[in-house]
Amino acid sequence: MERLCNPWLDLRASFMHAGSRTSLAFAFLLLISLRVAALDMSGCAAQQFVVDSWKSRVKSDEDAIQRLKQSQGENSPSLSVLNATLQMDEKSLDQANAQLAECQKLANPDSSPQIGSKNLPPNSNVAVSSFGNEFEIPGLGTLRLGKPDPRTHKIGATLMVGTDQLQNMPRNSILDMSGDLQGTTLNLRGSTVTKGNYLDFDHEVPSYEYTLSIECLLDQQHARLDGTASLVKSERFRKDRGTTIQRVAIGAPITQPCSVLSLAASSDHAFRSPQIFEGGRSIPFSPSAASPSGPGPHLAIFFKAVLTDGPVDQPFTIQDFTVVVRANLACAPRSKGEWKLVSGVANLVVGSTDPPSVELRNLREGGLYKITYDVHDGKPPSEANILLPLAGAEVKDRMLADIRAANQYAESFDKKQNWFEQVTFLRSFQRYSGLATMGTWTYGNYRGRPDSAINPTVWLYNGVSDNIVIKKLQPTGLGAVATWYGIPVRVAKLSNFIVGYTVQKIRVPTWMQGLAQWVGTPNDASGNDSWSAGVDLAKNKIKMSDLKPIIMKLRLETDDHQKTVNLWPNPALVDNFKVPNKFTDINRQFTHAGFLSWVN
Amino acid sequence: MKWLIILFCLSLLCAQTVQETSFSEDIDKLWIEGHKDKVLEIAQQRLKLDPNDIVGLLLKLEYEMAFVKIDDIPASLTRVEEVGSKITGPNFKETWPEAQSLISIFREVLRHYTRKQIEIDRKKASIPGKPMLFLFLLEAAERDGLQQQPPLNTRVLL
Repeated sequence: MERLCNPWLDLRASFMHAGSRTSLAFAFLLLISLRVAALDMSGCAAQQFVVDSWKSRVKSDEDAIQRLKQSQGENSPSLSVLNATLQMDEKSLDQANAQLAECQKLANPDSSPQIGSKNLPPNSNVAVSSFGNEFEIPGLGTLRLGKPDPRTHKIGATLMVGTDQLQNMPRNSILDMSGDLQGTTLNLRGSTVTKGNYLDFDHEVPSYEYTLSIECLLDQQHARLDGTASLVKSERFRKDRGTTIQRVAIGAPITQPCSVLSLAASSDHAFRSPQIFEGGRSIPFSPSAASPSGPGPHLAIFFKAVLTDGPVDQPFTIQDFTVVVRANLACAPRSKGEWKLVSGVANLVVGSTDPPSVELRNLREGGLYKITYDVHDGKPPSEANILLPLAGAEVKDRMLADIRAANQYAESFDKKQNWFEQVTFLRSFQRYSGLATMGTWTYGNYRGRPDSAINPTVWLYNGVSDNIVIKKLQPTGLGAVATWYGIPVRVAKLSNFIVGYTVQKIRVPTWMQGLAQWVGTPNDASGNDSWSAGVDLAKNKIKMSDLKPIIMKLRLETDDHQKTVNLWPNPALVDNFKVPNKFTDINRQFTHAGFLSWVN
Repeated sequence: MKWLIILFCLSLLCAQTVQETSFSEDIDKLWIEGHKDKVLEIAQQRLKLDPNDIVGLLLKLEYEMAFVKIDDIPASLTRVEEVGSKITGPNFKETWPEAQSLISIFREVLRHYTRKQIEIDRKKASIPGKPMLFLFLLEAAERDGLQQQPPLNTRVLL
């Protein structure tokens, strides 16, 4: 039989003679015990499975005999055939029961303390059943076995050749194999042909062909693949007739890929360390997920935890710190898994192999660092999320535009507004004034969550509510943290700054300033500092370039839940700004003080 | 041709549906655009039907403060305070303390006004683009359904 799988692969397959029904039992036993052996586990789940299978078969035979008797009577000629089958199956069941008893005896710690399942993890049966009939052959490739055909007792298999040991055989060639069961031994054979790229100009056929032949012998004692690979000149090539060029002996133990049960991420600087991530599946992370579900599993490292102490108005100095991720495998690792950093920029240094681990170093920027570990066991790579939670997006450009708008507003303030309007406007500047958040106009406050689609802040750590809101149980969108000149700072500081700046520019009478603050809560100390910064800028006491150290101080002032100091500076510019009368969502949008839009 | 006319009418209807705005938004738009006389007209119509209509009282007060009607404002502030303090709608009630604060402040402002300043500020009344001072209270009243009190449909007047 010959069929063409791809331009490079001509597959020849052969089938061995069918074995007896008894060998089917051994087939099951063989396949499962191979798995058990490969995992260094010796639980009796496999033997129990074989017993159950034969019980089912015997029951089926008995039912068939009963039906035949009812339909054709006691003297039916077919009855003797069925009875013979029943006897054979009962014999097989007895054998399986004996093997199960033997297994259970070995597994009993009282009778055999050295051998058995005494030291096995409690979920060993689950681990065995989760693997499938797939085996790695070190240095050669991956062997996958099909299910034995109960009628013909044949078994199919494929061998994915992943080695360069076999000269001229393309990597990842698939060798279709087939075979059958002989006693406790599984015989598999297959061959494939790959063609060289030299042309015979007379006939326009490849100048040589490489034939790989493998015979696979597996049994309970020797989980090993043995075979021969032969390089043979094409019979179709002129003057050559099947000359063997190279012969390669193959002998390799068979192992099975070892699944990842979990990844554990830890760091001395992390909040709630370690964090465990379920293995063999993706671990999604959604920055905008609202509580209580949260954004998804992650190990959080706050900004304040990695900063070196120094003068408050000096630039940040980040300590060297590492995050270690360890894989917890279902068995001792036999092959090397693959670590990858799929999100974020840092150094990934592979550590020990047992257990496999990796270190993440030189983390310098906030954001999500996603690490994957792949053992190529047919499951998705395992994932771990390391989060350096970002503050809201950078607002320096927004603030420059707003300072220009404030200048325009101040110029026209007394020319356009009567005293009722002026005092209402000034009153709205109070931090906790109801006017600040009521109605379509947001008057004197920045609100919402400044954000960037490419570098999103995480809602869980950058909520839009502040203390006063928690008391009122009504979110006003005044509590988020922005990044201003590379420094995380509450949006309330932006409000105080721009209002202080504007009031100074307006030069309102003292009696009116006093009246505006007549009723309501006065600004707190931290509010005064940001207000003063605005006033000083308006008075030309300071320049824009002087703002950075001032903002550094504002960052450390009164802050509920340490929100500001926990968040990492966000370098991305804000991209969710809306003018106040288009502002509808405090979570997804960001707006400035309403009067800044009135000038237009 | 007949189909074209039907299509045109349908598109007009759709456009009107899409552009549906609230009462407060309509009033705010009129105010911002400088049609303050129309707002006063709406206030008077409403008060004619119901002298205790808070929406009408607020609109009348807004007009008087915009034009610095020093003689009328004190009485209007008192009327708003009388009626407003009795309203039990949840949204209105929540914003009412802020409105009361403003009313107190406006009484103080009245004491500072001089004849000269009145003349200066009255000239600023026609400048468009300035928001209403009690818009937040108007919106709260609408959320409580208070803008529907008089049977007269305001939109007809608009």
